[in-house]
Amino acid sequence: MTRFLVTELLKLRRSLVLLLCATVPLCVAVICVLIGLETKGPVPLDRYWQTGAAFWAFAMLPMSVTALSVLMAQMEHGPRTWDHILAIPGARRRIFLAKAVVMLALVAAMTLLVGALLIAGAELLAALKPLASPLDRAALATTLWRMFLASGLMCVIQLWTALAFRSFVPPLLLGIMGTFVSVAAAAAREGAYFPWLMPLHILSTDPAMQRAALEIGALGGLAALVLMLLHLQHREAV
Amino acid sequence: MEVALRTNRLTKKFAGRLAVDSVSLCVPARAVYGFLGANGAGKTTTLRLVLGLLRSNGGSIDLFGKRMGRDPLPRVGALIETPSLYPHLNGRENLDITRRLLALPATEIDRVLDIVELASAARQRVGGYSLGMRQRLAIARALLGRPKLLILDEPTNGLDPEGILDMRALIRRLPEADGATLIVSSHQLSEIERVATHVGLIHQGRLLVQDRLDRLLGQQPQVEVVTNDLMATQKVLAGAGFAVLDGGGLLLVDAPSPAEVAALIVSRGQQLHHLSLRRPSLEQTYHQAIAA
Repeated sequence: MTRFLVTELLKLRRSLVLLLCATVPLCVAVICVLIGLETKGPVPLDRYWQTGAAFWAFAMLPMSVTALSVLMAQMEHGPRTWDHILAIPGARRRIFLAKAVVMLALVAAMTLLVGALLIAGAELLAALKPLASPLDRAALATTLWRMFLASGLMCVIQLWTALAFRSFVPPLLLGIMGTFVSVAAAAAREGAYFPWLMPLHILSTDPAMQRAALEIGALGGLAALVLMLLHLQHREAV
Repeated sequence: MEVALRTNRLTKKFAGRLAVDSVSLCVPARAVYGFLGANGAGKTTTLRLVLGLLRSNGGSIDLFGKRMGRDPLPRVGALIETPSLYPHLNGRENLDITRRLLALPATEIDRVLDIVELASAARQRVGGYSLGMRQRLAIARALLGRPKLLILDEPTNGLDPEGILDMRALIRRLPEADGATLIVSSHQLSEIERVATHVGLIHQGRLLVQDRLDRLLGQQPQVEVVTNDLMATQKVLAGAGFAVLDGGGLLLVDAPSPAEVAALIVSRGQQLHHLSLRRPSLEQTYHQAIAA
């Protein structure tokens, strides 16, 4: 399995995937710092990081996952490399599993980067402006980690769609629709069961909603991963 | 005779239409097997079945005596239709991906680059390669791990004349270099005629003919004849039981022996200006097989 993971990482060299992973968290942090600088009076850093986490969970994470899944799948669909890879004995299930693991690792790395850049932004704000409240780094780290876990189902659904269709349109449409519906249904109680809203519900004040988002997102993601592997490994490479 | 690949009544349907209809290929080991057919005849579908990229609706596939199950069989290298490479990586990196997947030593990359004569361009991005270079790199990738069976689907597609010459030389060289068996599919009959030792002709999903190339072309030789009076010669030969065709300024006689034809013409007092044995081209054989 290791060699499959290594090859997936090697394929990312000089691709847009790494650029995406670096720039999106930077955008989140920069916007939060700008908002902090515009705040009249002392900056409340608890609101600062919660705003950053909300931006990340609400819009940037779903959009990044859409773009990431499309880029990773099109790397194979575009030049039709499936014709070569799927003819390698024993490769089918492991290649799809490696893709999923690498994608989830990249989402985890982006989430980590969001946290690191928000901390760096807080340091910058502390140097430039008086603070109304300190930064709770543990709370920030816990929230972002739980957001990542809650995004599991969304990540796998997006990757599955991107790998199943040769065209990039279906996964892109799915991502756009998912993000749009989550904007429209953010306040709805049923939103706790909508994969694109699960990361946002980690910020919910209702512990039951938080738990549902976390459990369904993470465990549902694992279940969806198993189904994805079963489906894709038996598909024909037409 | 050791058989590299044998398919038994291999069948594949797409939406109820038979794309491959009971095809039974027999590819001897160390042969260059030319798999011929028009576009859409079923060549690529058959090869995709052999590679495990498609699942058959019937029949079986044996590779060096081993029956193929759901998983592709090992020791098969392939280039199917277009060279499927990562354009953002360089040639060496593309080979490295497959080398790692096959768990081969790093020295394999240099070995295959030397075979396809692409070592000097191996550090350039594949996105900047010409089509010929991509074809050669895809063949190099197919050669990783010294496969016993190499499948090249339309390897000269889109190549310029120089690229075609290079590819032809490479195909001829490969069985000697690696002791591999080659299946080369093409719709270009003249190309196959130049490189193949064995030929299979497929039409509308059905295998029409399969034999050694020399035997296939040697089956019906014709004698070309030019005399001082072609009409009289035609009568003489037809009277002796030969099938004679007017070839436009010459006669084409279905006869196994030119000497017999020459003796008959001279014995009737006619002047023989030209006589030669003409073997039918693969193109003629192909069209005859389809017509039959």
